[in-house]
Amino acid sequence: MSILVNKHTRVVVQGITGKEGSFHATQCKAYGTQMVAGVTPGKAGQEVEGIPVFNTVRDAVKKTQCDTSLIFVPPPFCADAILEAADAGVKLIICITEGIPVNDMVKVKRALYGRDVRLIGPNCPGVITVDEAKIGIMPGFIHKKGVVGVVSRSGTLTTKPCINFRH
Amino acid sequence: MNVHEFQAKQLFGQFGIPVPRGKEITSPEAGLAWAAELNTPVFVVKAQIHAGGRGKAGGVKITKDKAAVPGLVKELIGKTLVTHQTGPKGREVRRLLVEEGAAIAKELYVSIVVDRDSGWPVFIASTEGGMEIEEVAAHTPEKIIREAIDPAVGFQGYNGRNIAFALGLPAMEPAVVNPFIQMMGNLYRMFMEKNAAMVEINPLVITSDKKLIALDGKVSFDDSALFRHADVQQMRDLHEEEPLEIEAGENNLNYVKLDGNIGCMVNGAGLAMATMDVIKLAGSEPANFLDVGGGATKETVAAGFRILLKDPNVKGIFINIFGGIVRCERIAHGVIEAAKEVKINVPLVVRLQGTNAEEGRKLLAESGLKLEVADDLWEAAQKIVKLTGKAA
Repeated sequence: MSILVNKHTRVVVQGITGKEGSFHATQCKAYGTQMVAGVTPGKAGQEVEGIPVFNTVRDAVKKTQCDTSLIFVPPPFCADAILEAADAGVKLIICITEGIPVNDMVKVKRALYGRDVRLIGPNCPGVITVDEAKIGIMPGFIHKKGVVGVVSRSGTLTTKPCINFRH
Repeated sequence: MNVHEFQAKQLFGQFGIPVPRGKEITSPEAGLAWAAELNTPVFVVKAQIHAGGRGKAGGVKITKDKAAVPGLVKELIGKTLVTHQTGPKGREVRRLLVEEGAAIAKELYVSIVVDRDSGWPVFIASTEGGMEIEEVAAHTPEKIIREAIDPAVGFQGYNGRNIAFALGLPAMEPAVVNPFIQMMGNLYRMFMEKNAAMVEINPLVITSDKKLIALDGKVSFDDSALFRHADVQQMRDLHEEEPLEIEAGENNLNYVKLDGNIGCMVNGAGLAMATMDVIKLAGSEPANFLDVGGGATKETVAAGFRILLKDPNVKGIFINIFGGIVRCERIAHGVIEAAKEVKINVPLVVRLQGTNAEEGRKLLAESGLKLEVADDLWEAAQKIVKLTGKAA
């Protein structure tokens, strides 16, 4: 069972041409996730591991019907990137970036309130549905299919219960 | 990042919040010249350190005699102040604020922070100015007023009126009500524009001639937003920071020095907190919080290790790594690297799990370093506590 993401989830990676973005987009794709688009302003037409890059999230949604965004945009521009995804109609936004100014997030949280969109993060490892979709930076191998869902406020600490469940 | 009172007041001034006329002074000569220029009935000489409780510790001097100012400057500069916030070692005074005194009729408290539950900025106000707000909240919680500000529209007049009436300002002094509301708007603007983590005016004084003045102020900033504020960055005073924390910051490590004797090196803030918990549960105290981060390299681990060993309180080290993104063999290389540079003469317990854990353990075992390996968190904590002895 999955709640937020599954094998049909179509992911756009914002900041895909950066070091972290390209590395983890590749990893997620290798896990089997449908990585359908990337966004880096000014780099439309490029590809990262076969994933097409667009200038805007709006373009990516129009061309690829992506419904989930995975964000690696650096902190100074990250609030902007989250709001761009929400405005383009993305329903699930997973933001990995750490160190976004608090007041930026105060405004983002307020702007998303009441809208049909869910934000996971920022400063989080992402979301994984075992054997279906890994949308984040967690290593895939520690998660095994089972009956218990795990929700956590901490990245590395999440791995502890995930491992314990296996024993 | 914290700043000094005189710097907080400079910012207040920039945002139209009235403050006493004052100046940063670091020598008796400058104190003499400034006292002549200030020419006021009462002079206040205040030690500038990043800690509260200065008054009680003898860090604030008041005089009506202009000629006495240089002597007070000389007395305070170089003095070590011990307050409830400095720890027993105290803090050396290097800078002073010399300003005009105020005729106080009434003292109020006001501050702004982000409320972590709602995610909205919230004003905290009280009629009990001049006291520590934590004390007021503990003993007379009914005297704490809260007013949340909708970040979508920002501070509105009604927010100011809500606070003013809840404080009972119209009955206290009707002439200050409108200036107060305007001042709260300015304080909110400063909080948002400067990416403050907290702004506090305590006390906010109503003077005998019916004016409002920020008599003392404290401002701290969101470190993540400092890149936007060159002016704020320049206010940083490295003398006021823990040297090991500065070194950690330069190496992109999240390090907080604590008072215990077990040094911890962990990846991830959550796991680091859990590690500190199990150390306490096992009967000892952590010497620090250290999160080497998700992207730890050999270099950052080595830097972290050096920092831990520089702390004289550290009697043992507990390395607790879960290799997700971080690969355990990298951590092992970092430890071995650091051990080459710094002599390790304290017990070491290492728990490595996750990516390449086996390889990491093997590297450590073959390195010749004296250490114990543990698989389980609880087992590891008990081992290090046993090796270092229980906390006194």
